[in-house]
Amino acid sequence: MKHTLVTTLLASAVVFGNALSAPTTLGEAPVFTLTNSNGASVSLNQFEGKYVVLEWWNKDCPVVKRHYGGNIQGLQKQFTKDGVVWLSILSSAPGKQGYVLGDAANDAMKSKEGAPSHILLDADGKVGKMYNAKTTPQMVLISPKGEMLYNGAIDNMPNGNSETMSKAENYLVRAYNEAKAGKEVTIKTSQPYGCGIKY
Amino acid sequence: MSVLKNMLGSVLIAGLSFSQQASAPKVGAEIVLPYRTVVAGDEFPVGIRLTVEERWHIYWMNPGDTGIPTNIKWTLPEGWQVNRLTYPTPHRYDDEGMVSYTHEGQVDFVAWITAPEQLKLGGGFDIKADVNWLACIQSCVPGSATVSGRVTVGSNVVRDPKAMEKLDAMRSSLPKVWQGETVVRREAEGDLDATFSGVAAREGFFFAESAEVVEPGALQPVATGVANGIGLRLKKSPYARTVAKRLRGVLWLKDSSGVERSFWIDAPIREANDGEQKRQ
Repeated sequence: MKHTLVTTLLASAVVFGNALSAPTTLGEAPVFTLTNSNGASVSLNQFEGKYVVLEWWNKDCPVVKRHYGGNIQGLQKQFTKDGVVWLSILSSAPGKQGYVLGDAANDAMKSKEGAPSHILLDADGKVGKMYNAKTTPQMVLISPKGEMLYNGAIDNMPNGNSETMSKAENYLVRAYNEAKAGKEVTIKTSQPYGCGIKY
Repeated sequence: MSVLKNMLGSVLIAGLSFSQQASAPKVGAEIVLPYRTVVAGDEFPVGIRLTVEERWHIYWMNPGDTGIPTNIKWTLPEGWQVNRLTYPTPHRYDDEGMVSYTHEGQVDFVAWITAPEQLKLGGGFDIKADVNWLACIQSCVPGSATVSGRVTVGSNVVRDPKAMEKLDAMRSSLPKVWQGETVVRREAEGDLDATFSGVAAREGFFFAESAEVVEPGALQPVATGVANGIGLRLKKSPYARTVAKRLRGVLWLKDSSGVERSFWIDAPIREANDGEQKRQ
């Protein structure tokens, strides 16, 4: 599964150099079903017709904490208000940093006033690996047709801090604005930064 | 007393400032100024040494699959400038297939700074650096330190012998200038065939400066038949946005007797079909 994704990413990246056959997306977003923090089953398919954001989350990662100083909560509110589905995915393995059960995940998110549509539990890391997710945070944008539009870092400032964050270019926002305007997403991937996902 | 004062002046145990993180590693930071007096218009080296608690690592300029680059922000008097900053050779840290480019233990950075042409003799100037890093083992803790020192401007350079000795040792861990031959060709799939010859090598790894050129975690198969050197197949990065024209980064080599060497590489990338087009 992981190999398929890597191949897809590479294939699209290779063609990217040729303007005539430039792909419009990173290919079909791999479908998945996970249990959310309230015990319900959530599948990517059920959001057909809507934009979907995947956010890799680890409440104890300092880089996540930096973005939960208000940045991510603001995005969650702005996107979900616009009808976007925001899925915060927890791929930490049992016993590793950031691994929590449903109630604790809800409490942690609530304490930060985070507002994702769902917190999804991916303790075996299957979905994380399907999406080639490497760090927390890492962001993916999926189109209403189920195509992957962006997969990578949240913004262009790995060395940012709370003061510089407003000056950073947020790649997720950029991709969403372009896609919504009917344009091709110009930055489809970037090197994600943050804590390694604790698979 | 004076020893203690010196220690406090030059070494900040930055880990201690993160008291909310019980597990923060100890990271010492020190500035090394081998010249007490510099001459206006001259370039001179300044070292920064981080001493990272055992088992923890921090990250290279390209952190690889995970992490955040260690960053040094300089505050210099007007007209003074940092021409280049050299990171030490990183290590490949493989965590179940996710590969990061890391530094452990004693981590020595060297910057080359130029003083402006017009300076009054005898003046003192402060050189300050804010260093930021993310230190990780199973979990990650960010850290920072500020180090500073003062140089004066005179008509002749005045060395600090002890600091000079230290800086020379620091420079020895930096990648050397590559004197060999480099040929880098882009194959049809976008991967790079890089051949480095002129230095004996049995093993090798190329740490690309940018994650947008070479996929950080990909294996780098060794080509056979390269005499007195090594050939590496470098996988095109999934993060590539443009077609890279140059390959830049650190080449790490190990010869058959186990001696490790590293070199800074900056070479043009040739298109694989260039030669064929010329023949037609």
